[in-house]
Amino acid sequence: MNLPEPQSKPQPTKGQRSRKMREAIQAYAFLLPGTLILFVFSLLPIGYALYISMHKWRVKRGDFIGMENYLKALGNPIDVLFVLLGLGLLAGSWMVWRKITAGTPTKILAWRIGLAFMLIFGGFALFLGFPKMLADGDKDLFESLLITFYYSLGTVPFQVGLSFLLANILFQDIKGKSAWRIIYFLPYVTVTVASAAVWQSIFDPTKGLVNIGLAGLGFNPDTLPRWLFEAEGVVTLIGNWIGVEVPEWAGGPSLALISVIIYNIWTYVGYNTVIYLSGLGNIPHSLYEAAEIDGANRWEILRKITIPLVSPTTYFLVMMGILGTFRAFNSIYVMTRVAGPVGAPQGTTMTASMLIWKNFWNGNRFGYASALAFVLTGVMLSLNWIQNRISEGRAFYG
Amino acid sequence: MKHRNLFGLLVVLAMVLGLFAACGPTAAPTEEPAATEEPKTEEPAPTEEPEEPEEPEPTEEPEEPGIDPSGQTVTYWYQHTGSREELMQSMIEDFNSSNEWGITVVGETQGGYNELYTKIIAGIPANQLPSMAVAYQNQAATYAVQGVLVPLDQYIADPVYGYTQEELDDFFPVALSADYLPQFGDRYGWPPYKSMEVMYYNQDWLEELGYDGPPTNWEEFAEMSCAAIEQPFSGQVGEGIVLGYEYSVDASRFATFLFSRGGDVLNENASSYVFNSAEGVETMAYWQQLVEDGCAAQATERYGDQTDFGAGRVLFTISSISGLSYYAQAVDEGAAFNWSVNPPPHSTAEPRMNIYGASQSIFASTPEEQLASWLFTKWLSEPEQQAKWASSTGYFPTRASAADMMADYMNENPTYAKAFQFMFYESGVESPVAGYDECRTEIANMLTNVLGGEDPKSELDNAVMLCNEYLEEAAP
Repeated sequence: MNLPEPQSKPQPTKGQRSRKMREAIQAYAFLLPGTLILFVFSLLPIGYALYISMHKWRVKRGDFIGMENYLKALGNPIDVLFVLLGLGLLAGSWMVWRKITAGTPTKILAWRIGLAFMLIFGGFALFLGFPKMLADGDKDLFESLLITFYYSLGTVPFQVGLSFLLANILFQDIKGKSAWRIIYFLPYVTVTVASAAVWQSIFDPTKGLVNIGLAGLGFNPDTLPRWLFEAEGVVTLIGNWIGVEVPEWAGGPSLALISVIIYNIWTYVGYNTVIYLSGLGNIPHSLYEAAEIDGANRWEILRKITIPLVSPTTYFLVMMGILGTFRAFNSIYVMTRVAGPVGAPQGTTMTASMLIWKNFWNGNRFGYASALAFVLTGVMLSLNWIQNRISEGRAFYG
Repeated sequence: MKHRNLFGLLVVLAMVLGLFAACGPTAAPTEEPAATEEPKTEEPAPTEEPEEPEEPEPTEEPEEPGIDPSGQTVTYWYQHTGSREELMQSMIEDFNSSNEWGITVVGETQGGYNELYTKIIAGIPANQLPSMAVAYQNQAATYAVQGVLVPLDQYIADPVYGYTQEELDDFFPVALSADYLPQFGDRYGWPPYKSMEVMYYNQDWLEELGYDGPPTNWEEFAEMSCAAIEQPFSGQVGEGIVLGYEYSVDASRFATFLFSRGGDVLNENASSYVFNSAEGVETMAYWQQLVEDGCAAQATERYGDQTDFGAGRVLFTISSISGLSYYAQAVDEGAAFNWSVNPPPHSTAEPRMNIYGASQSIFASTPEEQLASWLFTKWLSEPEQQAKWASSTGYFPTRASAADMMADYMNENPTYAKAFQFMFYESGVESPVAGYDECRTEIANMLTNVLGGEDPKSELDNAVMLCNEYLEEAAP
């Protein structure tokens, strides 16, 4: 049998090479403005912030102090190393664990299980450095991260859940659909400072609409909540109301923070709803028809078709929500400044970004504030990574 | 998945960039809303009198040759808004059209004391500063640490452009000494006006409660405040909580309470904060008790203490005398009762006041520009200008001759005239040191914590520790 001789790859002609070169130059020329903008307005400021964070920088640049600001924030370097190693090993073991499936060959399975257990135990052992880090580092930072976590946890699930519900309602064939969409979207396009100032007056304990409404419903005016002025945890307040003593550690976020959370949910629900509507519009109608023919009820359709097929939208909104809450500032600042200095009342609304602001502008500690910003960046990147890993295989892209 | 990861990473980086942009050292924070309403009282970032006031003496040294301020254009940053800005602009126009050197002053409002301070702090590394600005003494100290301010004694002593001894003697000592900064041993500000903390009280309500006059000590103050919540004012208008005393959280309020008990914020040589003294603990324990008893509460909106006082729902407030005209307006538009001002209650034999006020500071530039700025500063401190400014704003003049020119105004405004006499009581000194602005935030934190139920002593100790850290960090 005569096989055809393999043909050598034809060499490009001079004209082809010249055209390719021209195309490449054109492409880079088009990329150049964007790259420059990215460099000047993104990478350069980040690099400069890093430079500031490594100096004693109070209004003007002082001495180079290396990692001192970071160690002031996070504590002893050994503890930090332990924590980072612990977290890394835990994450690594979790990733290995996830690779194990029913079809994994036995030998490899045993090896993987061994590795996973080793990593988990090693990770936990190293994780013991965490309490020491908390003790040696900046307590305000850890406290602020906890408050930020509360803020995020109190905001994102409700924002996403409520907007999914609203989107499903607005996706139906109802009258005035467009008007409702605009109404729900309005808070998002309203200037934050203005709307936050209005909500601040709504939550005013003596003249605010909320307490006037509660008093109108028959609640005792002397015992009405103090909202933005209330530093007590909501769990404690509920406990007091129903006569149950709540331990201090279980007090939960302050009522002031909950007030800001309510405002934040109000602001972003409309935006999330519009994004969800777009996601719902992308689901092929034929799937719903097929499911109906197969006898699926509305709940089953929602669970088996709608939720999985809008999962990329859900993933996007959750990610944006978490990142947004971790860097939130304007609304918290405007709403709570009436109750006292930044983070009022009693520091219970001092989220990480507020703490950075306090150190930067109230404290003139430019270097330390920049270091805190990088710590927060690390936390946000870690959360983003974790979210990516968790969503693997759960967000359905069709 | 890689695309998603990349997208996620880019989003995070963009977010972080936003955060950094907001915190960049050369940019004013976009988060902080600009003040939209005219300040109803002077924002109290206090001032201070050095232990041993130094009065500059005119010398016979000739003016440095070759410095000619003619034709200079200088920028002037201030915090005034609304009608006060209009007045300031009209005064600047007067100066521009009348000064013999052809100096042009360009006045620019920055919205408020905090915004003004923030903008100058941001302008220092960027070298974008005005020729002169309004600054509290502690703020001037912060600027001076950065080497951007000009010491003023050289101008005061100048035989051509400075003051004669007779003119210097015309200034009240409390005003003249305030701008002498102990960390530098020099003067970095010049005082065109002063303010102080006073107690506003509802005379009619006091009489209904069976008292002849306002309290002079803190025990009486507590007694009257608590009596007020039991027997609201008959002329009260509108709905709201009745209080004996309504306060806003502010470091100067704490200083006022502290001074009145004989305590001090800073030690004698300005090397350490001492407000966690026995007087400090007493002050906070007393205040905390007043709140716990329901006789005092925090204002829940900006200037809420003024409006509630005007409505006859609050018996006492303590705040700056510069709010006098706004209190008068609040009462006229509210419950229209008889009211007045008094020194805050005190445990000392005589009232011990908290007198403060921002001054004019001049930034380092060319000798000609600096001299032009000084000439405007000096003009602003002339008796005619002081009298005009004080009689329109409620501030106090800093010169006896200016006060004399206000005789008619004082006759027409007896409450102002009464308060003016408090200028001659002993005064405590807040902190003319770099880092006090930062410390004020910690004092305000301490106030919210203690008045929210925390232990006074431990909170005071913690605040002093944090303030001393700032003092050390910010020292020249």
